[in-house]
Amino acid sequence: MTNSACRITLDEWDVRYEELRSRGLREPSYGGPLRRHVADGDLRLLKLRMDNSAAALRLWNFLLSEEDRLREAHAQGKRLVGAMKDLGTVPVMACSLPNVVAFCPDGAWWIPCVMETTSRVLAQSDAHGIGESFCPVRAMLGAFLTEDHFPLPGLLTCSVGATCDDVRAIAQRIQRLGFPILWWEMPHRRPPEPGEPAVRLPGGFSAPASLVAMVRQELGRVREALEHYAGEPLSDARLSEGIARANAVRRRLAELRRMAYSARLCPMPALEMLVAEMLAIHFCSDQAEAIEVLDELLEEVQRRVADRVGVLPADAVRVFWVNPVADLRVMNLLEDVGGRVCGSEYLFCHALDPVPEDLPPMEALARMALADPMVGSPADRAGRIAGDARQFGAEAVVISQIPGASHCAMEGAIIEEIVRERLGLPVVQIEVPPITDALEPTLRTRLEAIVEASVGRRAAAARPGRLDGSRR
Amino acid sequence: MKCVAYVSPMVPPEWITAHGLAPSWQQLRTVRRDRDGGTVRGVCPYAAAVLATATAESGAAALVLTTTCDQMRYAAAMVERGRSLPVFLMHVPATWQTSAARQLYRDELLRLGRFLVQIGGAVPGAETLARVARRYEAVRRQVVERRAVLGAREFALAVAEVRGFIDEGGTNVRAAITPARNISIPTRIASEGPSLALRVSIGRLSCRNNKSGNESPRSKVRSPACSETAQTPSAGIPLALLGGPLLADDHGILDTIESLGGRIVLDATESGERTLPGPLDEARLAQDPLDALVDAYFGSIPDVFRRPNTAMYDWLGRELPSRGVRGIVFRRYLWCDLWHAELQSLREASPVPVLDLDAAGDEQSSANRTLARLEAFLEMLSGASSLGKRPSSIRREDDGAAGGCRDDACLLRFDHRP
Ligand code: SF4
Ligand code: SF4
Repeated sequence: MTNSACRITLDEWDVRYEELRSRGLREPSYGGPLRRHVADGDLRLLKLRMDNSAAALRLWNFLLSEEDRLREAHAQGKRLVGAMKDLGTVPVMACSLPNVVAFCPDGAWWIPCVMETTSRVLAQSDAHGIGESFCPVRAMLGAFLTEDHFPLPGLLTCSVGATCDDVRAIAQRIQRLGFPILWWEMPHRRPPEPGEPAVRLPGGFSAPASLVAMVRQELGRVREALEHYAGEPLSDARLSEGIARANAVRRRLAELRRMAYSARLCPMPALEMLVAEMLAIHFCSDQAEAIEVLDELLEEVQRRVADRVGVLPADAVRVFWVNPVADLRVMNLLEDVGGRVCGSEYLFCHALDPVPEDLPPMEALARMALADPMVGSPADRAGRIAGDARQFGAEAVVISQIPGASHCAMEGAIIEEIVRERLGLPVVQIEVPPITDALEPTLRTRLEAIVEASVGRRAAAARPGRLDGSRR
Repeated sequence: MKCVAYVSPMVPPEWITAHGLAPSWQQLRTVRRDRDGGTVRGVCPYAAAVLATATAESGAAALVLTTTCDQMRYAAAMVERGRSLPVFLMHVPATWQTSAARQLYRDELLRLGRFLVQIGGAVPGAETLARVARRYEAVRRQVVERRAVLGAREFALAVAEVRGFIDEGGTNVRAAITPARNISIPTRIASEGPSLALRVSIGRLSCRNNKSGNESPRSKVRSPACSETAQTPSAGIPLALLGGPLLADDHGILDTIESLGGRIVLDATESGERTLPGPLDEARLAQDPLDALVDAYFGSIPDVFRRPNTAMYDWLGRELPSRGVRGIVFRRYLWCDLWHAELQSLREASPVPVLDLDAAGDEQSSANRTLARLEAFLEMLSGASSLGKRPSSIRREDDGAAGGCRDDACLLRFDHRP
């Protein structure tokens, strides 16, 4: 076992864990060896290579213990709010109330991967009419029915309108099965008409002021429901404090992304970065702890960057990754074939942008909700991807398609076209199902191809006599 | 007169007509792998048809799409990027319970109005709008009143017609609602444009009022609505057809059902009567005609995309028993999540058996499969009728999860493809 930064298997983590403990590792209450999660059914861990730091250990333990945390909160009499199709707005509001814990039932998206065949959720979803033609979020229906993965929330919200069909359709099925839902409207973000009052949104898009006002009104309904459920007022002051806490998470993530994605040597594997980014959505049901987890991860990254230590070769090809992968293993695969993630858009980049703190809180939250890249034109999202890919110095873009997702087929084509047009980078679209084992050779070949193409471009750009003198 | 193509029943054609433009409800042709280069995995056949036919050669001045599903939202972006045709994407709120949602729909109509003016329309006065709205309503009422004497295909085409341009006298539509066996097919085109059945165009975004004002040669093609094979409407096992919109070449399924001894007494597809607007409030029409339209469309149409979509089940709960429906043919497109997710809820709620037909859009094998399933379904229903099974009422969401149609009552459950 080495002390240098590297990706290790679960077997290696067993040894590493003992080693860290013998050196005085201090862990939070949810700590422990990663192996115990396998006993709980998280079989995919056996196929992953994870970062070997104590910070990564804490991150994984935090992620994989969310279910216990929710059950504990429930047992303590805390109010549970399930926020569906909401990447970062209602959870910020809910967490502003002291006695409320928010989570995203659609986080069940990853269950088919993490638990492989050990969870009953997909069989339950199938049995209730939600089969394989839906994206992995169909696991959410099974999770509601089995109650295996989260306690049933007392308040369930779902944004609809310019949102994906999968969640909209499955949530309707959930409601029919007896779980009441507070639906709130998310209008399609359109460009302002000439002369129409407009506002700039976090992240850079703009929207008509009238749409922001509409969303504010809708969030007002959510606020009332939260107050009613929690039995106490959700004042502007509380909301402002909640926003400040959410921003504390976002600031850390921004710094983590900046350091990890721009460092010459990759200081943190793509897998851990993906898990860390997911904390922005609902803080893994514990906002304060999420901040601590991120602090430790950030320290580790800072240390590695300062020490010029990386987990991948220095010449790894810089890849901008679009969409979350249904199988976490694919993040390993990219690195195995010579790539590294240097930027990402996992469908929730707006949840990483700071919520404006100089505005009335409901206005700020409405603006943030409308900044969701998915509620506007896919051309907007593609534009942001192209901008971020340029900023992070990407050499290639991988668009990871999600099987069954209502938006992917057409959206992927638009993103690919716009990225090629604006950046001239190689782009590949791959489809990643929850378990890729059978497809691994094909996926490997496709990722190898784009890595090789990028290496070839790099070599060509470095050759003397190139007229524009540019690398890309 | 410039024409504006559209495919969503949530867009009021009256609003387009009142702007001095011709609304053109599109009856799109299926995209076939052999002929058109194939469908794209993940794109529903209806959205694929929109994409394949939204071309500059369509003759349309613009295309109006709505946000009622993801596929349409992304199709709008594809058309916009292709720059083949100006496209207007109208947000139709999925929620309906709040005044904010209603106001947003109204605002979107006003925004559509500004777009129509940009492409050559004129701002309508309240009088004009009210007059046009009354005209449309009168014609719709006539079509609905004739339902019982029309064959399923004729009725579907007539419903399509009332979503298009209706001239001052509504003469074009009236001709189309004469029962097929008695109809004398008009061969002369009225000055306002070709007759209803003749104008149903297939295969491209099309306009009965093209830019030059001349009718297209294809409009003289004899309509399948005039098929000699149409059954006497009163015969056959009464069925409902429920699901997404029919493509033009899908109308064959209506004939097939009739030829197998069924009869569609309730066309609850998205292109059928289910999505016709509700009655106009005369007082409101006189006061604020746009508001009256908002009520008739946004306030009345029960559709699958609405959240919650209880109004659709309420509507079925009223219409199934009142039409004596004995079975539901549920037709959904491959990759259409909104309809697919309703299948089981419908089975649980339905007082009558439900036949699930998935439409991939482009395969002969699926046509054969459909035929076999329909045959078996109708055979089963004719057997059930001798046992005296009668429809009861549809179960609402708040009736709980347990369904009215128990597993053993839903005799036909077919596997569906992912
Ligand atoms: S992957 Fe896409 S379709 Fe699936 S839940 Fe997420 S946004 Fe919706
Ligand atoms: S059939 Fe379904 S997916 Fe296709 S356009 Fe209609 S609602 Fe959308």
